[in-house]
Amino acid sequence: MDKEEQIIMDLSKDIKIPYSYDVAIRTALNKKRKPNIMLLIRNVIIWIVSALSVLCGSFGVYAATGGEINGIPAFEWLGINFSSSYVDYKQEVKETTTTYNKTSVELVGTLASDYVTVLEFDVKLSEEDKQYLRLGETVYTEQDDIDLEKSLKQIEEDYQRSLENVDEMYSNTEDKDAAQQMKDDRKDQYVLQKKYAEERIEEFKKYINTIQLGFNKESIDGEIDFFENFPHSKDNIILDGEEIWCRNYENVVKVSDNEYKVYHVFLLTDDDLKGKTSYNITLKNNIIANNAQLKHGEDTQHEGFSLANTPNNARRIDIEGEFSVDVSKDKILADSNIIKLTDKKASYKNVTQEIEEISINPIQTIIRTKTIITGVASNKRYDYEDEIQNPLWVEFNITDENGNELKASSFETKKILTKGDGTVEEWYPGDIDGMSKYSNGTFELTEYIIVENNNTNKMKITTSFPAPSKEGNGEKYHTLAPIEIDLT
Amino acid sequence: MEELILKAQKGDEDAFTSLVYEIRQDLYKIARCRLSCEDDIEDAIQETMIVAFKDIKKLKKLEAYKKWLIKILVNKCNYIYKKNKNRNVSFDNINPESACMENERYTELEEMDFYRVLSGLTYDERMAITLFYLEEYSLKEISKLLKTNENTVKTKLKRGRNKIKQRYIEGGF
Repeated sequence: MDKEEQIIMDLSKDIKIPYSYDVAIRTALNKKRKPNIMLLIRNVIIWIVSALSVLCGSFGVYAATGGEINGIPAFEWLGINFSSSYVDYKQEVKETTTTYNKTSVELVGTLASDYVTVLEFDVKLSEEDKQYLRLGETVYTEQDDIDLEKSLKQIEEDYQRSLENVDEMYSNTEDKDAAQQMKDDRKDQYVLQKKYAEERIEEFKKYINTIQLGFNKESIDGEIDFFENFPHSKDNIILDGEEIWCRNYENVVKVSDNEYKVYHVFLLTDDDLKGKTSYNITLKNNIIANNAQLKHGEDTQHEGFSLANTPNNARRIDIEGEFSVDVSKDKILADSNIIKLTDKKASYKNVTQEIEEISINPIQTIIRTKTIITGVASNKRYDYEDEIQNPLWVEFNITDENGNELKASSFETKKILTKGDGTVEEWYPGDIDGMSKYSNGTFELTEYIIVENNNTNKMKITTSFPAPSKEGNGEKYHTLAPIEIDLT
Repeated sequence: MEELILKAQKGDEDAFTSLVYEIRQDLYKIARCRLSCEDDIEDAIQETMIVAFKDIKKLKKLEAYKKWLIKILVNKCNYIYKKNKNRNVSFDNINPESACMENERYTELEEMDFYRVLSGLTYDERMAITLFYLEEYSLKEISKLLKTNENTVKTKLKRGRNKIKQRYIEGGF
């Protein structure tokens, strides 16, 4: 035997491996995974993560907080109180479209300001449509009980099969303890799955049906069953004849059993509008659908998750006709103070951030920022410790001249990656393309921050990049130095 | 093996666990080249499995499964090593009394050929030798994994081999 063969032989000999290493392998997939998420999704229940929807902007957010109308959309949307100046700047419109069964959807007003365009609708439902949409009822249906039985049977079968798999895996070994350990793990998982399946029905009963409006359904493609329940998730607005995607949110206020006030908010960037201050919005192939809303006083057991709908509950009605409306920002722009900035920057390690523009208008303040992140590489995507590599989102803290925090909500509107070799990729805002390979790249992020109406003369903007900790038990924050801006 | 991979790609956790279990010795040795602390090795293997299970659907060349897993493991080990450098002692100084191994028995350490073959080698030399001889990696594959060029790998292999050879001559084995 030559030396090389001996090396191979010696290296190949089994070495003693600690029992804890074996256990680590057997329990890896159970240990750090949140146990309930996949199970919740597994039964085709459609949930939205409220925080994520703000980040990704793919879904509408439906909330009927507030409730007082009197011509003012007195709702708190995305954590921001809408300005009472809404009534002063709202443009009245009169354009009614009617579905069959005497249900009507009327576009009654528009408001256009920097970044924010609101369309206000009055929806009146016939008794028949109200019943069809199950409005006022919980999202629970009798079919859910039948489905539960099927789910429990499936869980039981999966569990028994997993036990057989363990027996097969350990059939040639004497390590009975290890086999038992794995069986115990499977049992824990089985008990948990059963528990969640049974609790799900009780969760449904906490939600009540309200309505949502969906627009431009014909442009929705892909997984139709999924998008059926998220009608705002694809190209959702026709702007001067061109179908585009933009973030949009909806706020629904119940007026009576059959009447609802709907404020649909489109967030249109300067790029979307191509610099125009007046534009036309067309909405066609529109629907009214039902939508789950947590009953007042109820808490969901799944923190951070809101039920959007369930397959057994989901209903929709097509609205005949279309809406076409001209809107203009000019009135609000005339009363706005737009501050263009060139020297308001902060740097931190491989990040430079610049506040480019602040628009103070009667409805809210809009801040536009640009963030440049250099030296990024796909193979360092999970290196959070020393620098920013994976800017999934950016958090902003805005304070007034007295140091009081102002209510604000931020939206990434553009994410461009320039790779080391010069090629450029534009990623969906809020998204990370996990398949993209790059080194020595540069991210350029554009963010819009909507700040609640205020009278401050100075603003301090502090930016942080959350970096999920390796252990998955919290976030580490990289924070830039605050940028102070004089608004006078 | 192929059947298990296909099952794992369909989300079968047990099949995936079996796959890893089958090659646990090799994975342990590779992790050992970088990490000496048992806790860290276990973290590395678990992190590797979580990432690999999530991404196994994307694996197109089933025959490359093991190399693909090793690549993830090496990256995880490097990350953990960087983070916990102070507690991952030199390969040559693996000490049965060290705190992070207090629950493990290493009385047989001196009889373990894997450790003795690689003792006295640098990390790159250990990895080059292990991957080349144990895992039958090509020079090109090793260079990619260690993020270095092929000539450097050749040098590492040569130096590693010479050190091992010297020990054989000296009657170390």
